[in-house]
Amino acid sequence: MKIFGRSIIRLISPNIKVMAIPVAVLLVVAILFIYLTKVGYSRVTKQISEYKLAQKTENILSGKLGLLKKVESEIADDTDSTILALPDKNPATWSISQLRLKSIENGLTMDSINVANSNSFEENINSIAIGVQITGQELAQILSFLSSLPTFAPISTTGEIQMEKGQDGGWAANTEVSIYWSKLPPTLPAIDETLNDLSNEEKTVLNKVSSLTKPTFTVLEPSGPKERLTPFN
Amino acid sequence: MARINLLPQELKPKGYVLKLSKTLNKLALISIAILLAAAFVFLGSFIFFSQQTKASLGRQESLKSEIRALEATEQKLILVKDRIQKIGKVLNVENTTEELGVLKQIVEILPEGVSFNSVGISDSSVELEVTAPNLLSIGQFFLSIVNSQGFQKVTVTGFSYKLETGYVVGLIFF
Repeated sequence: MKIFGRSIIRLISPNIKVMAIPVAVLLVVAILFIYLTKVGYSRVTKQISEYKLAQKTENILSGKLGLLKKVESEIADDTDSTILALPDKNPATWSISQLRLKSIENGLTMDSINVANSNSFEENINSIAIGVQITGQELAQILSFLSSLPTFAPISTTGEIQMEKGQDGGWAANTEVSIYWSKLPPTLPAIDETLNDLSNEEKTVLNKVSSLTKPTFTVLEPSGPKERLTPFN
Repeated sequence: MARINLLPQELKPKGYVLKLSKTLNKLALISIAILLAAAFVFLGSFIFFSQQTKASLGRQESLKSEIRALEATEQKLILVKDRIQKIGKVLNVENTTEELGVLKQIVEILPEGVSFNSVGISDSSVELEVTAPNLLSIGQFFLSIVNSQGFQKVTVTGFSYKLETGYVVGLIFF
């Protein structure tokens, strides 16, 4: 390009010509540096956070696997104990059976037993009250019976107790035993969710639950076909 | 042979400009080197961390498959924890277990001749009525209560005499 017959380059001062290239290079480098820092830093930071998240998940999974391997052999018995202590359905029949057994063990007579309507004790836990009236010759027998109530499964709590001495010198006692049940957890947590081992407090409760007297169940064995001498009998 | 510059002097850059230009050239070279180093560091870090993430994800998959194989154990553990948590809540319900212990303590210190008429147990107190043939037995019973030091508060709610049974005393143990 020419102005007044002379090239533009010739019009530029030699001082500027000498400075132009290094200044241009510096400018380009500065722009590239800003761009690189902005883009590169954000990408690397994002990648680091992804890596940290992956590490965290891996640690959770690793811990979970270790825990599951550790408890694999011992958890089966605990499941039975806990489900018997707090069943998923109304355990009134089990509890009544246990109450009857304990009254017989202590030489008491169960005069009456009544079951009230169930109600919600807390969120997801239901309860029902069983009214019990027992009679016996000695106060000690009744005390032994009442003391045995927290020792059997399903777990129960004893409400107010009234004991009266009769005319014949025997004793009668009235009380209300509350029993509980709760639905089983419907779903498993997400696979990458932390799973902790039982805490010391939980282990204490578990030990207590394991030592409870479990209800006895009668298993009816299937019998084979028999020869019927009289087909109409 | 002498070297003669035929260019006019005004076309030659000034000395300090030349010096500045040289310095800027050096700076430009250094900045290019820094730029390349920074690019290398960013690229290297990116590749390193993406490789590490990929490896970690691979290990996660292997761990997940092992955990899935132990799903039955996980179910049992979740169930046990759920039951224990709920049983803990039930065990914290106010009940008369402690007060039954108080009654047993009273039975242990009951002197000969003193007997229970009636007992009422609530979650905070034990209310009872005892009979004794004479005042001496009542005195012994009170003395045993004081000496045992196992009761926080005892209130006498009644004191009467019946010809057929003797002295009748009402007490509440808190």
